[in-house]
Amino acid sequence: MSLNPLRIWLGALMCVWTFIAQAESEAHHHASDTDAQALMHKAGHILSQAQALELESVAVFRNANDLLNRIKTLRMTQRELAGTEQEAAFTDMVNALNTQREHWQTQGAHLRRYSGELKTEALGLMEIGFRQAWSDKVNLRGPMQLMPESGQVMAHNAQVRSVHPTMLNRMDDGPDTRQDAGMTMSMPGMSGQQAPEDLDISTFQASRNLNFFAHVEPITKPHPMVPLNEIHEWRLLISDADGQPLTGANIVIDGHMPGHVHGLPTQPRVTTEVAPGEYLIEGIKFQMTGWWVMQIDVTRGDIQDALVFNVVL
Amino acid sequence: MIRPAVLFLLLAFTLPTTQAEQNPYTFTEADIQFLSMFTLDNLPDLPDAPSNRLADNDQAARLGHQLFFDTGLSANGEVACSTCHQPERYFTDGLPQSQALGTTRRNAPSIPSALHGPWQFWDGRTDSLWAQALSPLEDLNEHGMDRTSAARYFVTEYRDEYEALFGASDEAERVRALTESASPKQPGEPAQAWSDLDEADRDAVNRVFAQLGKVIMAYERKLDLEPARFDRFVNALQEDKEESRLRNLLTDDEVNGMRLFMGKANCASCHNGPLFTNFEFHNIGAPEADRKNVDLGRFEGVAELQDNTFTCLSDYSDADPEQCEEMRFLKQQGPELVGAFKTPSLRNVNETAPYMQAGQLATLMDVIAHYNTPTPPFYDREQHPSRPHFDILPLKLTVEEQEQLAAFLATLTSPIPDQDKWWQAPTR
Repeated sequence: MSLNPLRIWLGALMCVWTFIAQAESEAHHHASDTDAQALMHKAGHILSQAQALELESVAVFRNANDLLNRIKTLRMTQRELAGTEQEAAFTDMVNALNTQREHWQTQGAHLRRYSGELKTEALGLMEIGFRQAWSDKVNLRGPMQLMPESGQVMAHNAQVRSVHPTMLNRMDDGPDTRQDAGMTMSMPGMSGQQAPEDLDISTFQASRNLNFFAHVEPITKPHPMVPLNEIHEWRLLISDADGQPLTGANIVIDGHMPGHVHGLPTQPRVTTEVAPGEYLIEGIKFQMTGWWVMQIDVTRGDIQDALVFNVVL
Repeated sequence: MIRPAVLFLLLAFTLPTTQAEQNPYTFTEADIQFLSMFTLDNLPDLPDAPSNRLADNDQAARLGHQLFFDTGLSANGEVACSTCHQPERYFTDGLPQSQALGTTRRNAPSIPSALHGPWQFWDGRTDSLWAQALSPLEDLNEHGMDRTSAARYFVTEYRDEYEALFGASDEAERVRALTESASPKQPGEPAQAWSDLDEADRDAVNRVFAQLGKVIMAYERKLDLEPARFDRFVNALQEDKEESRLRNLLTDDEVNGMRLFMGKANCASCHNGPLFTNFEFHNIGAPEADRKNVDLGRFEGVAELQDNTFTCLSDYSDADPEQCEEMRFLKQQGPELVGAFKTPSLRNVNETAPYMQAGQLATLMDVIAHYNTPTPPFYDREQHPSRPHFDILPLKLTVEEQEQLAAFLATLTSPIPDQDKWWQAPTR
């Protein structure tokens, strides 16, 4: 194996480090900015940097994996060479490659972490921008929460979607149960519903390709909270990447529960654009507590993009 | 020397977990709180019924009571609602598929536990009790009466009661003048006669027919359930937890069955709340009753809802369209609709055999055996629009556990309220 690709990658990594440093310092400066649209514009800029870093990290991880596969093959050769005079030199080479692989692995992790930090920073700026631009419309603080008086509606274990008899083998574990502290009784658990600990449940999100920024919140009294098993409304605020309200967008809403093969019990939709960039979503109902993924597809002119909001009830 | 009281305290602190495992009658406050979500005490008031302004009208309920038991509302003068919804059987008929003029496709559900959900019928093909009540009247296997004759019968035989509620309405006048046997739901002559009627007559018939359903609904909303042994057991837990009192209410097997129901057997994941139902639609892979004509369940129900003359959104509803949220945001597609049926309430389930949408399973033990080792839903790509979704997992219950579960289900039986006039045939 030639060492050239390694050199190229080290060079690339150096560039990325510089890039991160720049992006970081920009993020810190933006926090003092007060103009809502400028804030959102800059948030978008930082988000695209975060995305670029994420892509870089994916590339670095891929290289590390390719190298790992190469090393595995070389280790086999190494074993064949056992006892010959080439063995020592060959082993040194493979070990050097492995050190390089570990290095890449670490770099990939660093890139990913920095990308995540930038994203968090950018979403924070975006939230400030939304609160300034739509000060009378953004009433929710923190993530969406279930109304405290909602009776507990339990999960069902809908994790199989097949009629093929072989699927029964996968059903051997039986349904999940859980037993809460202070209880002697167990109750149905949430199969396949372990939301990751670092799940992003912010109600302020950028669309996948960074064309739009959006905020959602339930329109309920006295506080914006999600009722269970009750049809209710959400407010959706959307701006373009420059922080301008996005008017006349075509919007499609879909919700599902990861790990369960079912969606919402209703078919919610946007019924009206109340004010520029402010859309009313009606017909939302959650029949179950747990992790819901709400995907909102937005089309405006030629631009199509998707927003994803994680809701944990 | 340790005094007996101290010894007792020490034991009490060192033994609680093992005692709790050994004694099924030991419940913590959190357990009791959890169980209380299932009692009739926590049943909310009847849901608002904006599509029927007479839903809570006593006079309408009395008239509906008469109509519910009136065999005059059938083609052969022998079938009433109460033929298949018999009060002494908790408003079911004990048959797999009901027998009236013919044999129905599905099993007759119990009524007192069906008053709270947004959808009626196994497939939820109507969105109110009043629209539900109309469908069997025109079904050739059930009452077999045509729509026009049913409406005419109502405004003629019950003229005084009708006018007390609706006044001397134009539509009643128009319907009394009709002589046709016309129905859009009955192929052949009745359908032809229906399309031959002028539009004002059809509208008048529909209006009176809807009014007929609405008074029957007002009656059905009077059907209360008295506390079952399960409810009294949880009430006793809430009051004093006195074990001898608890033992008088539920046996060891029944209490163990209750624990299984809520936990290992996973029944409570869908059969929850005071009526032991989540009002949703699921496919549990019950044996297909007729493989040559598969039952698509909610998939068909949703299609029929959009074609139904008598929904909340229709001209015959008393609601503003904005009030019809379930219909406005009806889920019209999704793989989970295929072969899915409404989760039935388990109130009085021990008295309402046989089970499933076509009465395919004869006993509760058969039902539990199905859940214990389920077979995936029958799939025929010629008939199903997509692979049926499957909602259950094997339970791995022992035979003893299955028996305990069945024993618990029998504790959900409310006594028949002998003193409650709504549970008796009316005196006219």
